[in-house]
Amino acid sequence: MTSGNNSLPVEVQKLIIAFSSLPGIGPKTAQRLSYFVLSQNKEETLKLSEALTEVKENLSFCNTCCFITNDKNSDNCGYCYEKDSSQICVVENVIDAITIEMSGIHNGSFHVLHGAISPINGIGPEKLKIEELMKRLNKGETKEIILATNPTLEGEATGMYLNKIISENYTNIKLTRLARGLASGTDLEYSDFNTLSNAFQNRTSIDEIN
Amino acid sequence: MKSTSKHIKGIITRCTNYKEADRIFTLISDSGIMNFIARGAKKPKSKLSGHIEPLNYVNLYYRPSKSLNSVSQVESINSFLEIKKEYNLILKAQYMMELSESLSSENEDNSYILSLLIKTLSNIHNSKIPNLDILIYEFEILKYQGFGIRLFDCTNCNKKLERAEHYFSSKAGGFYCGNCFDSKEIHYECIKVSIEQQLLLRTISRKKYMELANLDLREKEIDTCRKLIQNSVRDVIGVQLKTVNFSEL
Ligand SMILES: [Zn+2]
Ligand SMILES: [Zn+2]
Repeated sequence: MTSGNNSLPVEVQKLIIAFSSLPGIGPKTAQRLSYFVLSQNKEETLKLSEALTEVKENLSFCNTCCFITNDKNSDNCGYCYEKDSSQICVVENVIDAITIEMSGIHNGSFHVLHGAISPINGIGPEKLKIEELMKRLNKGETKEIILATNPTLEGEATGMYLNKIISENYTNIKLTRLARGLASGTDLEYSDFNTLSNAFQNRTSIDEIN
Repeated sequence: MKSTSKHIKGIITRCTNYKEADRIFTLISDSGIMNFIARGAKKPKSKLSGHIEPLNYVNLYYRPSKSLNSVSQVESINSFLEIKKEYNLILKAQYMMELSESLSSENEDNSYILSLLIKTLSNIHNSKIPNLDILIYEFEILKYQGFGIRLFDCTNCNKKLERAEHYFSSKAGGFYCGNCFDSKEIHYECIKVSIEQQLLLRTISRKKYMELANLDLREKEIDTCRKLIQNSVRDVIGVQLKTVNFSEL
């Protein structure tokens, strides 16, 4: 924060610091947002603060699938209860689970890891919700794990790690991962080597398409 | 004043998502560590997407800026796909990138470190002993930055080291002879280094890499030598690298 902020009222300084803690918000944007809040009518601002409080007070993460839940019993959320746990789709973040859920393509349950393995950022497997996943697998109900981590270096590393420990310890569970390749609407010309190489490896026979 | 487009090559070491669709990333280039923003790179249809990933060697065109250089065009030169297929190699590559970052500086000629990194990353998946490649890399990069290890004489009395087991101190930047070690109260911070391990380091320091094949290289010898260099890196930069803690290394 710039030293110029010291002449601002403490309340505004506090707000700027709070906004700055959000991802993607730098000090300048935090200032702009704070001034906006100052000029906003009280009712609107209170709606925001109420929404923030409610999110933290009413929602938590399920201890089993690690997805968000408003259940008081967070050991087995309504979602865990409702969905078919023989097929678990493993994702990095809540937003990934919501995206897949909204598309309607997956009827099984989810497991949210809350991140991806990234040694350079000090994130190892022990910082993710992997132990929780193993506990679920120990129940013996799971037939398939769909690894849906992102096709980034961290996401791939996480997928490889999970693949290794699951295939070594649970030989009956089928492991699959989402297909990698060209995104629709992209030009070959601008594709990176990794995407191209994956698209070639995962190429399909013309019959399968039709 | 309208800024003109510039061109640079380098390896992307880390990326973070920014706002809706942008990515911010760090590049180890010929001219040191640089930070960039790639606007819209997270959109699947972006020409930048896919290229902007850690462990990609890229050709970048950008508009320089005081805060974050803004990328206009990017092409991959080498994506190190063989490394990306193996979990352990990814961890090793991340360690090498973090090490290079920590010993590179901004706005300084960095071509040696970049070329050393590219060379090691290009060979590691074919290597019989990847950790030996990494040891050579660690040794060379430390030496290049002026923190080379004294391998032939005692760091305290300057006497030539006899052919024997000796103790290494990262704070002293080298070994103690038997006499000096016995007379000093520094035992807690020293690593015992065998004759074979010293021979390995000396062979690397003379760049006689072909001769390494003649040495009896067990994992333990390499690991001890790496530990000693990692301690030196820690003392030089003042912190332990995050990637060092990963047991798989
Ligand atoms: Zn649940
Ligand atoms: Zn001495």
